[in-house]
Amino acid sequence: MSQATPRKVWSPALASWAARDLMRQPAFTLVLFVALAAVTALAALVLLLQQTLATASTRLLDRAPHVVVRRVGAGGWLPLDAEAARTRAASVVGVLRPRARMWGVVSGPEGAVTLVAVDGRDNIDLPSGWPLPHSGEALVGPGVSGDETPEHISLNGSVSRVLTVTGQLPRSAGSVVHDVVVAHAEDVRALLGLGPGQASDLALDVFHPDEAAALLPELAAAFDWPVQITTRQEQLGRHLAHISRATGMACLGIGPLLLAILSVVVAVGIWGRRSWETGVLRAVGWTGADMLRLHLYRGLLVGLPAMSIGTLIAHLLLFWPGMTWVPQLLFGWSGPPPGFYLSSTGSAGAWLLAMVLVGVPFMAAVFWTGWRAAGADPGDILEGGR
Amino acid sequence: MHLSGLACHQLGFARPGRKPVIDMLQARFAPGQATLISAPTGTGKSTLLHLLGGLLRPTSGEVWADGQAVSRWPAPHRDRWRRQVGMVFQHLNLVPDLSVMDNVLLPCIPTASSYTALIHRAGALLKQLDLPAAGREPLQTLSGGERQRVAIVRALITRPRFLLMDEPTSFQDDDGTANLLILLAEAAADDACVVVCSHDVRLRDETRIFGQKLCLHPSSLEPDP
Amino acid sequence: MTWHPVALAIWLLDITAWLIYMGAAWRLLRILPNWRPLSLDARQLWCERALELTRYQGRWVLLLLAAAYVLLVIGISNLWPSLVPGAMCGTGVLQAMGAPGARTLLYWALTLGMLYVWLVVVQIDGRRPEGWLSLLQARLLLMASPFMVLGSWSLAQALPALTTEVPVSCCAVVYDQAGGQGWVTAWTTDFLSSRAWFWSCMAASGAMTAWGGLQGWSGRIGKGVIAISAGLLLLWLVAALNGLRFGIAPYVYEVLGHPCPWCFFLTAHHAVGFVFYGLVAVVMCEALAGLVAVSVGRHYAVLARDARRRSQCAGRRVMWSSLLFWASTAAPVVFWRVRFGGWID
Repeated sequence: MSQATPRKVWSPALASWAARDLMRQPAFTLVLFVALAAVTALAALVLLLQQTLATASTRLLDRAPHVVVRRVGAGGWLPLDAEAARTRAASVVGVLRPRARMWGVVSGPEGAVTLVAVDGRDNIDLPSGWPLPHSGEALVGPGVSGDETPEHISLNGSVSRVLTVTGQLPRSAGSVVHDVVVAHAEDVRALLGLGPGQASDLALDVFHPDEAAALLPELAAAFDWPVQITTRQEQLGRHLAHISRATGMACLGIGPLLLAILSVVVAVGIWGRRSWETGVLRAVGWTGADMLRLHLYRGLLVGLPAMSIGTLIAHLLLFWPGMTWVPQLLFGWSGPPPGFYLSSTGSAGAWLLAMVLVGVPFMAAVFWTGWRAAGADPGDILEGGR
Repeated sequence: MHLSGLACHQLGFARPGRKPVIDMLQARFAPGQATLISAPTGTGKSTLLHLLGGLLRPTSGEVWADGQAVSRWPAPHRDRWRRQVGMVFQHLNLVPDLSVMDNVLLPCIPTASSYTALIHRAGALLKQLDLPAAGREPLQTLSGGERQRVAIVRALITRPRFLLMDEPTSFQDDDGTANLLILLAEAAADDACVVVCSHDVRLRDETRIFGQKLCLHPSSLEPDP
Repeated sequence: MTWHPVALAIWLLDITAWLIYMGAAWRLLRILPNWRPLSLDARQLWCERALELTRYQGRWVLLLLAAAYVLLVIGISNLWPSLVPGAMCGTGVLQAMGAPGARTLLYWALTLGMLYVWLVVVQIDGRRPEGWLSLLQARLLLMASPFMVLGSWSLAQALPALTTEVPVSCCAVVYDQAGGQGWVTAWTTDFLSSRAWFWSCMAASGAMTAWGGLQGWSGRIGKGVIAISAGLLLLWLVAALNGLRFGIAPYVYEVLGHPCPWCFFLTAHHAVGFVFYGLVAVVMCEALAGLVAVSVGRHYAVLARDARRRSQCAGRRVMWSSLLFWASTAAPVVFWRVRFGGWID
């Protein structure tokens, strides 16, 4: 006698029974729902944060020069001869717009600030209409000035200078210009201790970003002194690796919480009244496949909404307008958050991964209890449950 | 063995670390007749019924149903075969927080295509067992005897090929027992294989319904003297 | 790189699969020497029950490893290139991983193939309750173990080798291979031109579709069927894989002479690689399933009818998958031709 019968995956009657079954244990169902939503929110938060930081880093570094050349010596970084460096770099085929940059770190009123020199409009992007600082003047970032723009700012480097603050850099660019002071080249040169004609490094572009790595040997050979050459892709790679490493470790931290939930699910499924009822259902003719489907429907009826709400909560926690806890927690910034962006593929990937990291173990636990219910002899279950 | 009905071939069952409850049992239960099995308490009547109904798997030997060694089948096949079994348990095994009708229709939920016909049949059976208005009542409001009749209706709702009953009259009065015997006769007339385990004197004294009366010993089923 | 969330997920799936597999293997090693199907004693009944349990365990192992494999491909193709300096696609990531990376993909593919063959046997055997193929199932499941070991060992070497410090030269690898430094690639690029590979891919897909349709309708079981199916599968595989790299790639990348299989998976090219290679995987698996079904039907007359049904099902799936493959690979070429009125070469 062949017992082959058509396989049904979807059974409306079983699905309704699963929903009724959940309502018979409202307290457990609610606790499970809340716990799953919370863990999913945590996982999604971490992953969305990773995605948004990665996207933000990528977008920001997209505006960075393709290649940066620094002169190095035995003791570390050395200033380079601006004109000579520019000429040598320009001699390499494929190099575009070599430009010497003056920038460095000096002490400001509330800690270290990044000092950037401007010397002509073509070297730095500022909102049009903003006056470039003259000698003795400076533009300051929101983290340097605080809520009220000061009239003067005192900077200490190789020398000490007091500069007149003529404007504040936009808050919306806070993630980049938070601690930046833009000043005239003369003042920057003095504060950084650079000699006449010297620069901090050389920035240059290439025709196609992917060519940057290929030009490194020629670039290195073009200079008479030892140089450290960093490409944009390399820098981005380091950022992204750091972010993903931190994310991975954070995800591991969610593990114990998840394990606790799964243990409860399995325990409730295996022991107690639930187990005995499983025996009754098997004994009156429910097959193992029916039991598995029942457990699956129950898991999905609780799990899918819980995980969806969890990921939604994570999304709102990060991107609801006015949310400032992320920059405060991560960067110690007060005030409006920097511009966090999320690409559609990035967010979809983060959501999916959050569902996988939480959903797969949860459904595995649900299946485990269902599979035990399906696999055990009904007589054993009935006798064990009494 | 290509015999219809149920059969045991060298059937044995033992819990791990304990002596066998049943050992090397040979028996046959033909369709179209009711068999009564009686025995002292603790001899293994319930275990035998569970083995015959596929609720337990034997530790040795086989259970055959309509010429197939169903006890050795993989779970998916054995589960599907078990849909042909209607079982009344000694401890009833009704779900307490469901209504009477929910309990009765429990075997049908995964496979039902039309609930109307099933509800109609359930109502007819409940009426036959003197529970006409009990459909929507919570089970907890019923007495022990009424619950036992609900368990009997649950076993009969799917028109089982194999009807197995463990002490079905333990909470029944004479009228209830008489109604049950009518149902057993109808089931047997329907070519079902009916096996009843009981030490109820009223059943042992019944001469018309049971074609076979046996007494269970650990290794054999002997005709009841 | 080992801390990347996707890498952790892959590890989690692999370890879980191993835990389940070891439970199954332990049971199988106790079942095989004690299997006596005619016996009614307790030992034989225990063996039957344990074997039944291993069927569920094997399914779980297959599912978990398949999920891990998909995640690995996603990681290699789209997530990790941005972290490896110089990598622009999966080729660069595999270069960073070294030989263990490619070996992981190969061994896991073999494991999944082995487990799928096992699953087909279980499915055919499961249609009847007598368990005619019990021993065959047990042996097949155990045979997956060497590939699983090799796969996990390679993974353990490949993932830690991914580093953000050492740059790779992604395209150079592809051009070296295309230039004939790999023996397989030298044979393929010198053997046929890119247009010829395209047409051979189309022809082979057409033949596969027709054969799948024929098997789906007739479900014939015979030695000739096995030989034809196996030969056609091999031919189709060579034509499809090389057709993708040399014939279709120019039209997808819109660049002549970039035979990189991993660039198909990039979102910049709409991740068509998942479609193309996914369909290749489906055709391979179902063709394999058909071969197994035909073979079972030949050797076990009592299962001939069930084997024939499975063979027909496999034939229909091969037919639809190869038809989809044919259509999806022809689409970019046709689109190019319509846009520019010529061929790219």
